Amino acid sequence: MSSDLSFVTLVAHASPLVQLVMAALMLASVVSWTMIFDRAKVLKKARKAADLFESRFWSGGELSELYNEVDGERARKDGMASIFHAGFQEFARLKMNRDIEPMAVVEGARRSMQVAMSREMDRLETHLSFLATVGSTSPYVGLFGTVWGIMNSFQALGSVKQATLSLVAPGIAEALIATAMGLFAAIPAVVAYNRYSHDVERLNGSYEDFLDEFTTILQRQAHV
Amino acid sequence: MLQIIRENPKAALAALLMHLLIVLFLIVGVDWLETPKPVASGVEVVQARVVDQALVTAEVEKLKQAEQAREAAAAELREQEQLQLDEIKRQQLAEQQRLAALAQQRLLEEQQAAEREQAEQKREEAEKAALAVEEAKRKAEEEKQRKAEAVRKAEEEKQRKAEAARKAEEEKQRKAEAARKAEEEKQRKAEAARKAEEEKQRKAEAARKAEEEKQRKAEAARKAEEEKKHKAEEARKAREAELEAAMNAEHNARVTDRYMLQIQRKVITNWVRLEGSGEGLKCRLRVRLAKGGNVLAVSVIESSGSGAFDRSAEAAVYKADPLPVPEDGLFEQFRDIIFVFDPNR
Repeated sequence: MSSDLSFVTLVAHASPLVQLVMAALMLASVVSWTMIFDRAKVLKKARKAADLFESRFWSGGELSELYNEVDGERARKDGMASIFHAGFQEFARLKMNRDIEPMAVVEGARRSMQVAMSREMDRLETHLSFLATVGSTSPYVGLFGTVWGIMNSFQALGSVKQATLSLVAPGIAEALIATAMGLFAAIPAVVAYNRYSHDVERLNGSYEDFLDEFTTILQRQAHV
Repeated sequence: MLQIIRENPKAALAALLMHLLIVLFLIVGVDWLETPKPVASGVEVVQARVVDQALVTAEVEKLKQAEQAREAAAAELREQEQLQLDEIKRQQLAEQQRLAALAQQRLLEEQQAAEREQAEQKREEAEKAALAVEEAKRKAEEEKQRKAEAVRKAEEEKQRKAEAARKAEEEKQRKAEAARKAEEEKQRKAEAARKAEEEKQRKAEAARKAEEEKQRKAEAARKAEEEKKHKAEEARKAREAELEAAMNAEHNARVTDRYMLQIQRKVITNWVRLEGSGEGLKCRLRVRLAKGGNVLAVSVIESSGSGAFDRSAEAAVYKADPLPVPEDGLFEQFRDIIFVFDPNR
């Protein structure tokens, strides 16, 4: 075995199984970073849109005007705008029918808003579970590669009479790279998962607040 | 898993780039760590050697001998240079002699050239004389020819004049013809211009008519469009009005119900339960109200069967004065109300 302990030679001389483990970890890392970038963008946009819509909603305009504005927007409605849109649409539709009681009207609008909200939450939480999976499993995968590599190197040690340190060192070093890679993939994934789930939680809270406030307003309107 | 990458190519590219960068840095960085620095010993080593005196004197002697040899060589070199100088001087002398011989030769050549020039001059003079004689002969001949030419020219002049006169005549005729043709042309052109003008007017007329037609059509289309819009607008308005009316009616009905309930409740709270009166009694009351809810008159429309109960109901209504009624236009519905008094409900 070569006495050169540089990174490249270590990786190149590792056993096929360890190399496979390394490749899998590398792929997991790339994908989780892709997700990290993607979610950062999406969540930031959602937060901004929610703030913007809230300020628009409370700026004191006529609700039907706001509805027409939201309805006319070319872009896909998301976040609070979509909740508002769904609620108001349902409210207007039910209100037309005068056989339905006001409480039932409000209840129907609320249900439709809840559906829109859960759809929004689903959109925000897409792939977040993947980050959690990478964060929790990739250290084990890396550890598996390391254990396998060390086992191999000890088996090789068993067949010689006189064991020297230079005989085992490269094997152990190359095996430890797998653990390093596992940690490298896991740490950012865990950090990102915690952060993003917190963000999603906050967004969910503000959506729910908005839903309640809007329901109150609709209730007042229904009894007029 | 790969679907994530496919959905976000930009983010995937960024992630991939980051990993490549890290791997590159790792490779280079590990190589840096791999080269250990050579350890420098702290002690300066002095290069020294023990020297024998005899050896030094021998060395000095050797140096002296070398010096002498160099001086001898220099003297030799100087001698050689002297010799070379002598040689050069001798060469210069020979060169001067050669130059003197050359000068003599040049003098000789100059004499020869002068002689040649004299002979040349004589020859040229003889040639000139011969040429002069020939020239005179040629001139006389030319004079004769010129005279004959003059006669011929006079004749030609006469002919040319006659020709000119004829041509002038012809020119005059042609001009007259041309004038006539020009006149005709002008008339033709005037005619053509007139026709073109007419044509243009006709066309302008047609264009104007087409334009008018177009405008009329556009106007009609606009009107139709407006009509359509108007109709759509009206339909929308009618729908809205209908919706609003429905909402208003519904609202009114709800308000009325609420007030009726409140009135009943208030009357019941003001009712004094009669001793021994049977349960389940109820009567229909007619109440007339003034603005503000003051009771003007109460009458029993449908008796409960117990006079005492009816009277107690009436008393309760008076006691409940003023009854809660709406203040706005809805009050009109409360001027004269009929409700069922049923304390057991």
